[in-house]
Amino acid sequence: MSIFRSRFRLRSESGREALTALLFMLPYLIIFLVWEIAPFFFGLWISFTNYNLLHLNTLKFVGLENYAKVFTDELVGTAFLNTVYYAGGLVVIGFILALILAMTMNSTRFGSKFLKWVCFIPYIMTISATGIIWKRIYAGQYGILAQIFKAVGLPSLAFLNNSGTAMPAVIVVGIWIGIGYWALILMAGLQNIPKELYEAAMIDGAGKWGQLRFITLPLLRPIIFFVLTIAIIGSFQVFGLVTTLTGGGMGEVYGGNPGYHTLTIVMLIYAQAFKLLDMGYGAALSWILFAIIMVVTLLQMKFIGFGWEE
Amino acid sequence: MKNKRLSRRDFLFVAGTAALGTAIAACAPKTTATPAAGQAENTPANAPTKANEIMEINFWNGVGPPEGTLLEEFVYDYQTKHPELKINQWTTDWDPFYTKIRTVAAEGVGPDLCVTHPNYLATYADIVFKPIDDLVSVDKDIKPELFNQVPWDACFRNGKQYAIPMDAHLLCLYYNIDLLQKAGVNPPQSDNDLVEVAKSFTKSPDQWGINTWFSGNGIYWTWLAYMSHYGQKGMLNSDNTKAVFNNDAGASALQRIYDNIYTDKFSPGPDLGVDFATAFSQQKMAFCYDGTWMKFTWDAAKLNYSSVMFTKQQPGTWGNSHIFVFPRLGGAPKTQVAWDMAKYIVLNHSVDWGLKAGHVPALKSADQDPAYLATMPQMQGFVDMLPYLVYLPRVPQQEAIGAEMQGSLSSVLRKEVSVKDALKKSEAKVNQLLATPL
Repeated sequence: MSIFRSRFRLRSESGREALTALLFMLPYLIIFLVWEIAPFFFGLWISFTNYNLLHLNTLKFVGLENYAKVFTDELVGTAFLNTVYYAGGLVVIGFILALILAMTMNSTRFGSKFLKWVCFIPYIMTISATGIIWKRIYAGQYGILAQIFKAVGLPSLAFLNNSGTAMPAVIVVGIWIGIGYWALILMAGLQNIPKELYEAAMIDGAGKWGQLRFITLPLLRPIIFFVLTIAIIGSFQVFGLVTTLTGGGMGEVYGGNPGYHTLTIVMLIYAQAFKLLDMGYGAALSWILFAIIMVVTLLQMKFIGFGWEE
Repeated sequence: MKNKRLSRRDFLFVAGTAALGTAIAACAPKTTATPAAGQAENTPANAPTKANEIMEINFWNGVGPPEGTLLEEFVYDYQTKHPELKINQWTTDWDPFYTKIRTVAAEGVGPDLCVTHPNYLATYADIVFKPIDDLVSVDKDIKPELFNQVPWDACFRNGKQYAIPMDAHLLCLYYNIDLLQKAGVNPPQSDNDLVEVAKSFTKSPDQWGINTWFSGNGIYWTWLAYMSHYGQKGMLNSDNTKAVFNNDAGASALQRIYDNIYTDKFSPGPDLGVDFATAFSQQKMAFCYDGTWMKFTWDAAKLNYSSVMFTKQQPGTWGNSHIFVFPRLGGAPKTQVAWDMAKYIVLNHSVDWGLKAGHVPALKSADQDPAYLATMPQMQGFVDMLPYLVYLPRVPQQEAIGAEMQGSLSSVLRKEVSVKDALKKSEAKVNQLLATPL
């Protein structure tokens, strides 16, 4: 009994601290459970049903029917390829440009604060405003780009209507939005690399490329992993930007420009679940997207790794 | 004496408890009930009002600007005559409107009155919009013979009436009077005339004969309209169980649209991104195949225009109507007020609607009003085409069918698939959708 009491007394101080911390976190935990975890598993449940908002009285379990439909729906393949195209272009080109920008901002003394500010503005603008502005820039006949092309004697083109240029045009906007944020994170990582390492490398005769390859990139690996992870997850979930740029014309159900050349997975999910009200199928598509993102992130961890152990 | 100062730990404890209490209070169920299905008659919100109580009426208007703003004015007019009411208007575009209708359908709440299209009766009749046969049968002002038959009939589904019509808005051929007079040509009456005249006006890339939509609802409506010219009225059979568009009429209609762009080349293609409304307003396009709703735009551009009924083998066009519907959960006193308001707008503002919005009034007397007749011959083509109007398929799967047709027809204009293959594939898909009840 006295041992129990003494143990309880020892635990009571840390126990009180833990209880205080838990109480402090509880409001967020409740919100997280109710609005994140519960819908997460509710979505899993409805993916196995014929859930339709207007016909809940005929709700029934349909097994894997919704998942099987994914393999026969042509639009799923189109949306998936478009999403991979977007993610690939955005992440590869965007990351390289962000790294160059970060290194430039890190090495420049004059004007670096202004540069940081200017680069970050696109990231904090609302997506819909960004989409509307760029839609005007890209517009075919009277768009800003078209007028510039016309002025220099080039034929004007409706970038967002053309199957060859629509997705590259969207990728450009995606990079424009994200590059500042990624560059700032990379720059924070660059500033944590001791300058003595570069000095020692210079003394040993290493050039800029050697310093980049053997000092900067290895030591920046955790930050690179983080930036690539958030970029890939964000690009797979792209919706607002593409819808604003190429969707919503004259009662279109799916959007994604004439010919679905910019239709992404999340746009397809939204159309199925909230326009055609086939929520069971929409939920199944959502879970497949989740699985794809999970696999890609795990592959990233395997091949890029956290880099902390180094 | 003990020190009574609050420690940091105690402060955190109190703050955390207060935050938890706030979160629980915020999540607590509301004490006031909202009307639910089957309970409308008994809820406090639907009890008859006393003399000094204001009854709130919710009106959702998806028409959107600029005509939506005009409809708002009609509602304000009704409000000024009824100070015992407070009418809450929500004006928006069709996309967010139908998104909200879908959401409230599931929740069991909704507005007292809204405007919709006849094809949506198939999706939402009895779920959101309630039958109004009882209201019509006892009303002394609203009678079928007062209305043009096409929009009146569109308010029925399975023998029950769900709406009263406000207008019909349809596709017709606008033409620029100045350009045609300058060229010394008459407005075309047939497809052959149109092709020749449109070609003569075309000087790509700045001057075009006519617009041709290549995506979204534009190409879908145009194809339905052209298909009716070739003798096929509507894309489904009479009992809406089978697709009937994969035939000569459907193929000819789609081929004609394709030829406008790629064979006869008097319409700009999708890659050029030409804005049709701007081109026609700026007299860079001689003809514009568009709807009654463009009257606002042409009038604002001070264009000298008119419209003409043109046809191929037989007259026909695509069109739709704005109809007033009464969501089922408004409750008896509120539904009566909503009915009175809808009736007031239709009987007193149909002429304004036709004059300013351009839509053909559903009320026959409005068509004969001297003020409305003064808009002729600009809108004459539309009035002439009204009896031949073909609506969208009126089945619950109509949105999925529309999505299929938009993609399929558009793919032909992008040269991704042939006319024959596109129609064959779409026929199979539409039949599959029709066979799968929602």
